[in-house]
Amino acid sequence: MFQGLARLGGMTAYVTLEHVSKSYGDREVLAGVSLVISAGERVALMGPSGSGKSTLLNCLGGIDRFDRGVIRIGDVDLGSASGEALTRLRRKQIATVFQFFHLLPTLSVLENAAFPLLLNGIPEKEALAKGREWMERTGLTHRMTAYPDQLSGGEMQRCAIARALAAGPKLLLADEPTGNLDSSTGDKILDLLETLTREQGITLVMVTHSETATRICDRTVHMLDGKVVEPVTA
Amino acid sequence: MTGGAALFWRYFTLRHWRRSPGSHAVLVVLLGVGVAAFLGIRLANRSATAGFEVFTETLGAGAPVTVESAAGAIPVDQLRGIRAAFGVRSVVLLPSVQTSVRLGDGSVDLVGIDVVAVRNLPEAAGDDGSLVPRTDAESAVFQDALRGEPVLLISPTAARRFGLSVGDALTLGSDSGAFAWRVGFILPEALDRGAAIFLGDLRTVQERTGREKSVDRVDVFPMPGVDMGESVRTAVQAALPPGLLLSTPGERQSVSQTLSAAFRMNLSALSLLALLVSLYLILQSLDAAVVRRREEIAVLRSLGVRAEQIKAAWMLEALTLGIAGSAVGILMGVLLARVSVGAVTETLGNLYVQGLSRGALWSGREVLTAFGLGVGASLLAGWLPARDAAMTPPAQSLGRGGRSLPIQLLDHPLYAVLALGVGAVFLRFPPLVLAGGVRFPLFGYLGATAFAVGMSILVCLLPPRVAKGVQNLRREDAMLRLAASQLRRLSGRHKLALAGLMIATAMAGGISLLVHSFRGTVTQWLDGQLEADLFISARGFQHPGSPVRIPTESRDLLLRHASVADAEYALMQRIRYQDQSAVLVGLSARREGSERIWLHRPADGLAVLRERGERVPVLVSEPWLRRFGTGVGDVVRIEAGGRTLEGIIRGVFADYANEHGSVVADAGVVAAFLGEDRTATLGLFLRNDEDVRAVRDELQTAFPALNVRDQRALREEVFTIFQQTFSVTAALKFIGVAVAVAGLLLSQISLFLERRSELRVLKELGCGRRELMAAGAWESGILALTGGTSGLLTSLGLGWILIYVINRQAFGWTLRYAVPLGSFLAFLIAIVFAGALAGGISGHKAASLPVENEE
Amino acid sequence: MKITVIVLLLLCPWARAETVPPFTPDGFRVPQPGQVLDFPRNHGSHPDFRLEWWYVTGHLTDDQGASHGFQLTFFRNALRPFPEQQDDGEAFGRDQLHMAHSAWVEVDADRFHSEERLARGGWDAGASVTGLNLFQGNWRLAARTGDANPVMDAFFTVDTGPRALLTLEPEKPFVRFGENGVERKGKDPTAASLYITWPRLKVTGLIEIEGQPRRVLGTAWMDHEISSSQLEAGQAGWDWASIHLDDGREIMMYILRRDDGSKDPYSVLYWIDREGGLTLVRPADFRWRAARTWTSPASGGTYPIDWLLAVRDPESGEAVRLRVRPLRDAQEHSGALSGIPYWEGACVVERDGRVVGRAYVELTGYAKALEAVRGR
Repeated sequence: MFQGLARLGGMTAYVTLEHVSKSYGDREVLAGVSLVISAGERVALMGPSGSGKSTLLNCLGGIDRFDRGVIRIGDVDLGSASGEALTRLRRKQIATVFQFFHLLPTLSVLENAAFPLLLNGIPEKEALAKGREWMERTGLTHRMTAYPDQLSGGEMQRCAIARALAAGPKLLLADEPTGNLDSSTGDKILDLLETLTREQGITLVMVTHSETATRICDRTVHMLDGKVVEPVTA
Repeated sequence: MTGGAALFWRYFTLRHWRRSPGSHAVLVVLLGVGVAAFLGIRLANRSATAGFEVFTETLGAGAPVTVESAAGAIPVDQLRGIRAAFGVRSVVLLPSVQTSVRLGDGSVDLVGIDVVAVRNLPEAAGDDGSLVPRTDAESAVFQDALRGEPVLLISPTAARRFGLSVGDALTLGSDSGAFAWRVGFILPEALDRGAAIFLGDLRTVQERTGREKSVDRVDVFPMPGVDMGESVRTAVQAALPPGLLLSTPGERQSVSQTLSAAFRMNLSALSLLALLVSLYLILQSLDAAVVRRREEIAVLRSLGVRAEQIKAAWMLEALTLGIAGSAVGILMGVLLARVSVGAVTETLGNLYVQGLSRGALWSGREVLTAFGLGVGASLLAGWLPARDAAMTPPAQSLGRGGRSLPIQLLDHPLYAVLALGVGAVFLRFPPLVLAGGVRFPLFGYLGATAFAVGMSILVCLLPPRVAKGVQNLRREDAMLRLAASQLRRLSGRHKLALAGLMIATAMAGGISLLVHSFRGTVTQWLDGQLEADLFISARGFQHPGSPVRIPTESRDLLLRHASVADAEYALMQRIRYQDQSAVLVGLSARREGSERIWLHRPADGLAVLRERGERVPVLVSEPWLRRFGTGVGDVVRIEAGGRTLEGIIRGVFADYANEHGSVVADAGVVAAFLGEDRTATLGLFLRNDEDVRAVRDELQTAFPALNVRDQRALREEVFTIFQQTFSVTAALKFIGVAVAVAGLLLSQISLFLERRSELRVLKELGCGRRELMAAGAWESGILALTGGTSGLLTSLGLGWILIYVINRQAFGWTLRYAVPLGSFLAFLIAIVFAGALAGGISGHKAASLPVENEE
Repeated sequence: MKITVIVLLLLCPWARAETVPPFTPDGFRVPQPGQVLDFPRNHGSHPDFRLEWWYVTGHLTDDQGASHGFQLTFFRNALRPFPEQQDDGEAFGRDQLHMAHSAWVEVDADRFHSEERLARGGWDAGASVTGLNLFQGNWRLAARTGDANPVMDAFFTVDTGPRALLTLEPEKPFVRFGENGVERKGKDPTAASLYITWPRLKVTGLIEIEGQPRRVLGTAWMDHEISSSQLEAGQAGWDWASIHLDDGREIMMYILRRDDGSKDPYSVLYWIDREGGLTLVRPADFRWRAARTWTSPASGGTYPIDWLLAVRDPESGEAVRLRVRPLRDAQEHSGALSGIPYWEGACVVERDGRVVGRAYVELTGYAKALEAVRGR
């Protein structure tokens, strides 16, 4: 039915959630979430603390298991996928940008960006060349040889974005990407995220507290007490 | 995966090491210490015992087979019989004599070899490292030696030690007088085994040491292709003249091994301790590294790196650490050996063989073993942290509370009960009997290990109770309360640190207990042994198998000396009994040793030896009793040189001088049996009004070839030797505990790192550096107190096992169990202090953790 | 035989013209012309002379039809002149140095083995002074019987090669080479030897090769040479050959080579007839030419090898050309212990392409100077 709805909108459903529930003990953090996200769509997830948005993001990333319902990314059913399949999915299709950047401190900016490619077995020379392209796209060419601890917050997030996108994921999960940045830097990061996801046709799911951040999104999904509180519209 | 592993190694391991070279260098060095201690002890030990074989090695690859006499020397007229026994088999037979001679104030080994026969050794034709003279001058030296000129071939070490060079003259003194020699040839460096060797032509050495009619041994070198397998040896043995024995290095070594077995076993236990401790240390260090790099691991997991890859990467890191640490350890170990070999050689030499040569300091096999053990230990220790690292969740779910090492073994008291039960069973097993009669108390060691493991599990139950007790003492101390709360729910890391500290303390304590008991027992025994005023032996008399004796004329002169009231003397001869090495003593005891420790005292004491009956009354030592299983009332049949002595055991006495086992009979009986009445040692009782020191000096001057020592000096000497013997032990004890405390420090730092979120709270609550240091000090101090106390208590049990199971099984000794209370107390205080200090340091470090690293 | 010797003596008037000193300047005895030797005592050792050797070479065929050549030599070298010698049953003597060499060529398997030993006189090496009884290590060469031409037993090993237990039985009585019982080696009258030879010994025995026992049968030659100097100044070495002809006769020949490569006038060749009679051939009357050379990879010495011997046959009176061809080129003793490498090899003897006998050839002084055998 939801896929049908998506198709009605002339788009392909890329992420599908059907009645997804999850509890920690007797506390229900996700209470039957259903959501369809089309390929290339940018969706903001908003809601107060404890509304379940981060858990939802983790479930989408295949990091958290859910109790009931279905999550499908592309043609992979996360509920029935093996751990190996989830890892493959994380490695090839899904990327994450964090609030605290989580750059690898021992690697230079360029190496951080190129690292996912290396993980996928791409030869170092090629990976670094590709990484350089991403340096250009994220405006970090001049900081390529620096190490994370020498970067400003904005630069760190650019680097994190370059790393997230370098391997060519189809789905980018962003967890408060501007939460640790001042507003002007945050704006620039949002612009970058918009440009790049649009260029590459990447689906974006972004958890945010900031209304301004939603401007780069096609729609905003509000969550409260583990439920999506606004109707799904195509 | 290999590509992946290389990637991780290059991008993370190597980068981390480069970013903080200092702390990683410390880590490598710490591991190195473990490997070094292990290797150093082994090399030093090997070197010291290799001294026994150094002479043969100097001549080539070492004789595969040797002919020795069951009792004493080989008469030269038996040499052709030895040749005949080998029949058609082409072998080079190399007779030699070895004797101690005086050089300056000390004594050195003078070895007589046939300078011609030695040229036939299969190895001798080699380009280097051979005895083949290379120049006309060298050739002339061999010719001179053959002609009977007093020419010596000396080892480079001898040249260095005594500052000798070719052409130098020197005087060597022996029973037969002092003779001038000339250094003719310095052996090639390649032949040097670190021993001061003085080689002369056999005949010349014989003439100048009064040994014309005999040689000490005949080394047998088969020509290429000649089979010297066991069946051949059996055939040859059967054809040898009676009283001669064929032995292989294995068998021969076992004889010398038996000599030093007590020492070896102590050292082996210690090197094991060093290794255990370093294993523990690596575990701590790697674990700390996992905690430090938790975020990085989480990010990698988020990027899709599989858990197994993470584990492999950490194992690779452990491997790198193992390789680097072992390499450093090998370097340090060789250095350590060089330093400590002096000590070990001296102690071993003093205990058993005076003036023992120093052997090689390099053994590829030992080095490889140490390397393998270092790397293996590193991998073994890396396994838990690697598993822990692999269990790190991806970054998205970080921050859900600290993680701790998953060690199930330490969580269940049931395992403790199981370990203690298994240990108790092991202790009931008899020792393994190895070739040459060496008895190895394998099950004793296993039992001790199981006991220690069981206790280490039990000890983990204690800290909450100890913490509660300490807390009650200072109820208002917030930091103590904080520390106690940590200890109430002991993390796996805590438990590991505690168990490590406890085991190290227990082993160190057990060894001190053993040493203390040994010392006490030996003191009592010495009181019984050293009753005469003066003790006299031939210079260079080393052990019962050593050929030098007090010349009969000298003995008679001494006995007739005006100052001498009475005397007792002992003949000693190494014998083979039931195919094992033992000692036959002929005792002329005129006085009853009041302090002698008897296990079974004959009714009339030593006088029993003078009884005459169908069988000769004999006494045996405790080691004899344990080795041969014969006791009072049993018959002892000793054969040597075709004669038989049949004795009946009438008493058993304690003997800590040799663990071979001695059988004692009346001196006259033994002299008749051996056909030799030259005594090995002589004890003189002086008239009451004599000044012992003056008489000693007078006799020493009159008999330069003898060692004349007064009783007090001898006692002092024995205790100095004793002190030296166990000085290595003390040093290693210290290393063991130091490393355990370092482990405690590392684990405390890891704990703080792991509790960073909590730390932030504490800081926000106003805890400064001082408070954090106090919290750390309390936490570690309590752990150290628990670990130290329980470790020392455990050591009482370990000591019991060492004394009543291991030593008795291995050497047949019964020691008096004595607890060194004072040293235990000092030890405990040191551990608690060091523990608290380590905790304080970790708190100090925690206070300096940068805030931005925290979430 | 004795008649021949006397005839020879008559032919050489200069041999009697000079006096021979009884001792060398350093105190060793010098062989005296006309010296009467009693046997079997003189098959034993002569410690009053500086040098002495017992030299057995021979050709064997085993029960599998394979051919072998062997050499067994015992050398004795006095270290101090006779008056100063003191060894009296000493286990570790100082007067005599004993050296022993063995060699074996497995002709069909094309393998050569050799072994050298060195020992002081004493418990493990020695030579009896009462008769033939030599031992060194486990090697032995001893007379079984007490007559002048005794049956002898030999046991020896050759490195990793065969070990052999052989019985040697004289097929002809021994001969003594030299004029008046003394074989001169140079102008210096002390450079001479007493040279006693069994030219033809029947060999039977048992050998063991690679653990396999084989019976052997063959013919050997044995020299016993006693001297205090074998070479004089100006002499570089010698080529020596012993030839067993299939017709029952033998040839012994040696060429003393001078430093300039020329043939020393003291070189000789003897024909030994079927009864043991000697015919001396002077150096001018025979030719010994090598056809090629072989260079030892071990010592670096280059040995002339594969010879042509041209000499007149005293029986038929015709000139014969014998080719003495080595059964193997590499038959050198390394000299690792003695310092004297030399070539001692089994050869086959051909006449007009037809095998007419067997030989052993010894070549010395090609790889290294021979100071050790020069009287100084």
